[in-house]
Amino acid sequence: MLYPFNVVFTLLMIAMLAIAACPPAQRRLNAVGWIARLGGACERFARRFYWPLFALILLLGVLCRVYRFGVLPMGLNQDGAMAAVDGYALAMYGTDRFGTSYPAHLWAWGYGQMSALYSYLCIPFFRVMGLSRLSMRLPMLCVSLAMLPVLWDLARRMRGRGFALLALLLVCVNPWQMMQSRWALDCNMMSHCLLLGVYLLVIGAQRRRTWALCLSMAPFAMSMYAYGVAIYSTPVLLLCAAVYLLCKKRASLVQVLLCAAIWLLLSAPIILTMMINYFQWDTMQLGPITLQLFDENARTQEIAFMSDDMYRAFAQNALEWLRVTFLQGYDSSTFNSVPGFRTLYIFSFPALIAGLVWLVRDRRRAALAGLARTQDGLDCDAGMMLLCWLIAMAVCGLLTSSPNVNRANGIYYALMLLCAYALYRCVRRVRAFAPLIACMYLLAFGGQCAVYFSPGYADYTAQNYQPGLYEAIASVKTFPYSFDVVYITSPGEDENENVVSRMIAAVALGLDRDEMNDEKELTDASGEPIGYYTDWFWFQDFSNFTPDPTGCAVYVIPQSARALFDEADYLIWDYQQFAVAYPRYWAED
Amino acid sequence: MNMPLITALLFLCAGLCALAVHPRPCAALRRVRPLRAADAGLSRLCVRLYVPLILLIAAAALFARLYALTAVPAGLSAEEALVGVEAKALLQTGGEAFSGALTAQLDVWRTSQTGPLLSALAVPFIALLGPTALAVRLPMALLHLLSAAAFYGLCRRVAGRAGGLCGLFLYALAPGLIMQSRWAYSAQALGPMLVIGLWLLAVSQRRRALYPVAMAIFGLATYACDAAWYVLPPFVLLLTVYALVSRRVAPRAALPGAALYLLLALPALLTLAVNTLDLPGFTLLGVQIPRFDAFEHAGRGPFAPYDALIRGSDAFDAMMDNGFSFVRQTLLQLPEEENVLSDLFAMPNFGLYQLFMLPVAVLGGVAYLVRLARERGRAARPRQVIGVLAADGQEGAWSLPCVACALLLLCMAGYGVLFRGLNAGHLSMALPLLILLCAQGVSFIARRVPLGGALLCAVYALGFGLFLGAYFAEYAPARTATTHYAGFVEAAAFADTLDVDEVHVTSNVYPHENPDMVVRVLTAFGFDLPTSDLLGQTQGQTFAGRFSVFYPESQTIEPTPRTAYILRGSDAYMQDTSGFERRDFGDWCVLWVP
Repeated sequence: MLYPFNVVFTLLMIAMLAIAACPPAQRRLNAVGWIARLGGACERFARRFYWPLFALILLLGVLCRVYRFGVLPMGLNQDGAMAAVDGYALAMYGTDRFGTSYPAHLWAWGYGQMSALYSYLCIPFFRVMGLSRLSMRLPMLCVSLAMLPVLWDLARRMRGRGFALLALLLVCVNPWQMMQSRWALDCNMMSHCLLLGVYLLVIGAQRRRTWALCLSMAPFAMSMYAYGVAIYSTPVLLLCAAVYLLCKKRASLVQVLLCAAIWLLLSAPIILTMMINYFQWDTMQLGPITLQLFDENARTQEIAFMSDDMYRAFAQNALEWLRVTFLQGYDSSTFNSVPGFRTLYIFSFPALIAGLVWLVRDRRRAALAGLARTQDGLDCDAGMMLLCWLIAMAVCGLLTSSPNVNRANGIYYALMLLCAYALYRCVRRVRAFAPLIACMYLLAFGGQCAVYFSPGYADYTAQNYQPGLYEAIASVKTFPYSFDVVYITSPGEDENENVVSRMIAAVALGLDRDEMNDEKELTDASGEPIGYYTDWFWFQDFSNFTPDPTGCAVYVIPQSARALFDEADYLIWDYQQFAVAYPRYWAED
Repeated sequence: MNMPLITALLFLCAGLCALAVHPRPCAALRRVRPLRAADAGLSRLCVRLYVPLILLIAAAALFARLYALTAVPAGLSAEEALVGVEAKALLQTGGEAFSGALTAQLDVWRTSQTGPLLSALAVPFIALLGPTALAVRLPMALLHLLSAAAFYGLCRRVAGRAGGLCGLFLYALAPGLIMQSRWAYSAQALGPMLVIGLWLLAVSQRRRALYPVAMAIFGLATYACDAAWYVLPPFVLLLTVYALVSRRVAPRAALPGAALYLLLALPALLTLAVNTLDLPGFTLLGVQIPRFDAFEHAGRGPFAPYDALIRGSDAFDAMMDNGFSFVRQTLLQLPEEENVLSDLFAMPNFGLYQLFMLPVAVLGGVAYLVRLARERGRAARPRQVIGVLAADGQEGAWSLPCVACALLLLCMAGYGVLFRGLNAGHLSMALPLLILLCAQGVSFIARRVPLGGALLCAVYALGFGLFLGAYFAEYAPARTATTHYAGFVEAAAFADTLDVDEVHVTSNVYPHENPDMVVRVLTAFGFDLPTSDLLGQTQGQTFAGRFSVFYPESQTIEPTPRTAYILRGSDAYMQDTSGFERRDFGDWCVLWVP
């Protein structure tokens, strides 16, 4: 169904870009009376109603992000749950769930660890609201919403108000930005940190403002805590930017050194943690901050430099990175984009390529001519910062094996700016293209929302969110009947096998570190202690399980295990792909 | 060449490319007097020693292509044996070996088709030298050498004397082309044919009579392999349209040229039509237009459903997968999958045109596109630029040979994007054009970075030296023993001297898909069977009177008097060979009862 729509829109996009690249075609098109009149009317409208349009677009962006927030996506992703459990432990005790004081990098899954920034950002929300799906997703929503005007202002500084409005439209209707803002995946914070950092860097470079340059180091340093790939991509961005700012005398050596010192100071814990693990040093304490040595580190092998065949690794990484970024191709994960729309809409890919070519060419021409702005009004410094960003992300893509949308997330804001650059050029050449572009993106946005908010999409993402499990476990908190034990479905009863179920259960039940570790009793609604967690909750593989209809237990089961529970013997409540069963024997007692 | 060295050279090339695109650092380097002086001195040396340098490169090319031609790769592949058998059949009967008819495409293997061009080219060699490995391999080697000369001519026409030298250097020493030229595989004839055609096209700008000759070469190239059916017709169409619209070729030359191409390629195009549209085969003026039982490209096309590729949304992903596969196997020089067949086209760590040259090829492509955009104004005034070289000694980017190369690459990319499952054999035609991009990149760097071109050439020569060492010393003899059935021809020659009534040949001819036919072809070549014995011998276990296919997995050898078995060593190991005389030939052995 989406194929014709994508083909038509892609052809339209290519046609518009071709016209924007061909002055004779523009002249002919603009000479057509109604096209010229429509273009003029659009321009007058955009000028006169700039702020209402700005507010409307922003409202659209906010509405689609907060609509059914906390409920959709259904279920809970294990990475988000893990970050939340550690974040809750940090909020309550100042340690992760194992009792490590303020770790710079979280132990998390053991073999792969987890970035700590998101868990730390959750602390104020957990302090106020306690542990829940809503509170754990809220930090991502807040940061994502804050980035909408930030991108607008960055675009405004790059190329003016009109360009900024277009960029705001693109980011507000962007599928990737919308989807990542609605759930809690720690690595997505990297993209926001980079955007904020580049934004402050552009402010600093344009006016030689020391405070902005210094302040920009904070988000860049935070990006190092947001995702592991930032360890080798953020320094590239900073190095490129520093060389440019020094060569162009946009910053003095003192300013650059001061910035480097701030960045190093703020990044020191995570850099030291990486060094500890690379050189196998012992765990260190930096005041309350723990720099841990981990037993395993699977992520090191995912860097191309560590591969046996580096050339093949580089080449394949480059292609896969191009696929998920500029070419808007297939990505193996289901939670980053809606099929048929992808991260920036499939039909945007010609605009992304054209945007890159035009940006590089325009900026280069202006720079060689010694101009501060290009003929089209692009600020050369801001353009260069954007290019540094792209270069750093390209290096990241080259070095990171099997790049997918998560691993390439740092580039998507930059891609939005590139796309906006190409589209704005089209609009500047033929003004009547403005309503066409707006309609294309709004239509595509409508389609993507229709798919995203449909029940079918929950099934599509079931593998990542386990829809229904969170709700089923949470229902135990207000269960209408008494019970002695709760059996929760898990692939195995071993601690390593049931870690996903345990994390989701911890969030659903709002358990803190000591409760999870049986160091504190659980409490009932009135605050009375009712026993330990492991006495109440058992993790069970239902593939070889025979339930006892006379046992006083609640069973949280997958739908595949429903056949084990005869409705004559059990009351059953359905929760998407899971269900809760309770013996009738006790319910009717 | 080991991986750290490749990575270091890759970064060196990438660094030179990055330097070359920045005018200010280049200008700063040019201001360094020793560098400038060395660069100028080297340029003068190149001018003064131009002919000796050409001769040196030619000698290296000759050595790399002809040294131990019959011994490396060791043995003879099924494709090579087929070339010999078909050439002999053409010579003796004027038709195909097993059907006796003159055909536009050979369908001996049934599951895949083979172009008849190489067999036709091998006819005089078979006539002179008999069915030997040398007679089979020499046409390909000579065609590649001829194409190297044509490539030099093309580069010289397009980019001047220095460009010609650079192009010849890169082409003559390219590992992939050296490997291609040393064994006979029909699809590998397409690249050299295209180079010769492009050179004639370049020359035709001054000698208009050669334009139809170039088209005739493209017409003949259509018979190299079925990939040419999809690439050349659109290419010729686009080229003719461009030539006419831009007025670079007069209609009185362009239209007869296109007509000549059509006339020569007609049987091949009809074969394509018959097999694509599911029509019955027929005979046209004595040439058979066959309807294949299994057309190789039938399930690969853009309209053939293939669910595994359509992931998530639509054909957009399928085309992207195909495009990536094309880029991976051409520009990035990586085989689609590592197996015994991929080893035939490129050596690991060397690739097609040296792995480390990738950034240079990319730069060459970008530089050409930039020139196209910059010279757009000049394209509008074609009459003023025909035959006029640009100030830097390069012909305009919109000149006929330049545009022809670009269109050809575009058509190949289109073929790569639309068809899935293409392998190194299908895409071997793209290599000369990739080297053209490299030449463009090297020229670009040489013009901007002092000593940059010399450094690149030195590195490339080093790569060539390492390649030769690896290829002759360890790689080809060891890796191609399986695919080239090393020892079979010698075993057959020995068996032929025995006084036996029956010869059983093993069907264990992995990795080929049709062992029965491979056994027939290898036997026909090894025993030098007369063509009349092969006619219609495509079915059944026995063929040509005294030969039969032996299936080692289901049959056992019998020590019958006056019977010989030609088996692989692994077959003989599984059998009871007591009572047999035995003689080993590499991986093969002959067992017989006197």
